Amino acid sequence: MKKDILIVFAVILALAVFIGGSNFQSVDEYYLVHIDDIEDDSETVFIEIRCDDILNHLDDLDKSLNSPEYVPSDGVILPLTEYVLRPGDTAFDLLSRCIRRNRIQMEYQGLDKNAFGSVYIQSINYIYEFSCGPQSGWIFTVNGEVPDKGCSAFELADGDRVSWIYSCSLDEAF
Amino acid sequence: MKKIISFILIIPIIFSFSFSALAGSLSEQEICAVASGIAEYKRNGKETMFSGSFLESAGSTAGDWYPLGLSLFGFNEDYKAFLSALRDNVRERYESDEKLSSDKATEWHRIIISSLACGADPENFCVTKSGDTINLLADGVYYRKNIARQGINGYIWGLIALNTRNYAEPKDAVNTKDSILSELLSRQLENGGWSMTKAADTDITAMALIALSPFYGKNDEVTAAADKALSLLSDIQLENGGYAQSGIENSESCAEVITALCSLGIDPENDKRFIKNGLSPVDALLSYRLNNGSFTHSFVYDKENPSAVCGEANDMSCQQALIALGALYKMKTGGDTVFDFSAASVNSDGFDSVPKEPGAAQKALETLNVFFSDADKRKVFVSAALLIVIAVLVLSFIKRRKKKKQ
Repeated sequence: MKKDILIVFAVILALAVFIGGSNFQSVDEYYLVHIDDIEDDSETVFIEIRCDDILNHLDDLDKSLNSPEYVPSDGVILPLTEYVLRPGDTAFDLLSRCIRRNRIQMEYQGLDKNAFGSVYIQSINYIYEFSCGPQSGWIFTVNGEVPDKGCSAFELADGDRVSWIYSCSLDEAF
Repeated sequence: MKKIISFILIIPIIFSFSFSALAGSLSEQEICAVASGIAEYKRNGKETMFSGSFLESAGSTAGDWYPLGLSLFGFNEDYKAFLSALRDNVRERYESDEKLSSDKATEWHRIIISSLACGADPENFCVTKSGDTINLLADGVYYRKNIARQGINGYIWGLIALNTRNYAEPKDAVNTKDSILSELLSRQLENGGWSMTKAADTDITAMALIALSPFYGKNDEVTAAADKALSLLSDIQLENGGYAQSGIENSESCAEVITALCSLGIDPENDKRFIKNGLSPVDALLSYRLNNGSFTHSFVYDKENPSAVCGEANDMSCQQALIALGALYKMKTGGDTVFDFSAASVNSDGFDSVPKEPGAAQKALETLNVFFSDADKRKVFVSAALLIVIAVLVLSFIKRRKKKKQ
């Protein structure tokens, strides 16, 4: 009798350890949780966020932003980072995901709130348009070139490198 | 026989002369038809434009210019609905420290113009949640510190806002008509243009001219500066009558130049300085009109305006074309210039629909549907004349063959 009870307890214990120590997921759940894991066969993109041009125009910078928590000493808010490219990702989708992951402030104007019909990035890391003179603001490039679409319309491809750059001189930005 | 033939051949020649002489001038009905096309496109099947989700754009560049554009024609619309949405938007934003914007005074300037177009008083625009009156002119111009934080647009549109009516300037105002005027004049570039950067910008030059227009011909310094800018605009006009910005031909540059010329009392269709190869800026603007009634930004990819798709409808292009056409319409019908609301009736309630000349443009549209436009009439006469010529030639040819046979 005792042996039987012991065996039952042992089985229950084994089951409990097995169940407790296991993470049961449906196929969908598995993919959702692991969607951004970079595997050998994943399509990925790269993103960086820089404001180093401000360092050339420190006199024009809003006094309240003149500190390393807003403008890092090397101007790099986010160094080049790799992310999985989700199907249909636009440059804006990537930026949104990235700033949330890294807890970087970002403010944008929705595409129905301006005459351009495109999302407009007003600030990243509390650095707003006009924060460093009347020609200052955020632009983005893909693989070193200014794209032919706004960030919410530009679909990314495997290997694309997106740079969000704070420019202090509009006429030299393009 | 020869005399008859030569006499008949003269007819199409006469008509083709009259055709080309009038080709540059649109009739009032034609202007209304094009404007109506933009409005129809924007309404997208709805009864009125100012309803539904469109009202969410009140207070932004996506919506604010439409009341101005439509009111220039006196088109019936639910201006009160727009005004109400605009007031809600402003009231909401006034709850924050920055109110409409921490950087851009033009947020106030645009809303001032939009509110006037809806018949409201920008100095008594609405009331905040805590009961204070919102005076858009005070906050956006008179007491706006660093009005040009965003660049020269702050001065240009601040002055345009001040020019809208005969406002009483407060004695302690930080920015006045005179102070902004002097700032603008001091920022004119060597070649007579204005810009946000160092190189003259077509659109900014045109907008600066709009701001200076009430003083043109009255103030020597302004007149000289404006004439220099007009000379520049004449020089940079393209061979097809149009305009480019940073090397890209586009509709907004044409539209802004048209609006500027009308503001100065210059006829953009017939002033020789602005006709190249028989084509005016108006001809060029119309070339951007698409089959669905909307306007496109350009037919060439413009990297400075990445969200504008070549050859596709563009909202900003529609807005500016509508206003330019309105400026032209006003000029032809002897009305005030686009941003002049000094004769407008303005009250705290705003309009239901614009009462000024409600019938004029609407009637023009109705007659257009029933009768031929002038352009169509000309086409009919020319084709009829050509047919007569062909018939005569064929007949004479047949006659000769018969003679030969005999």
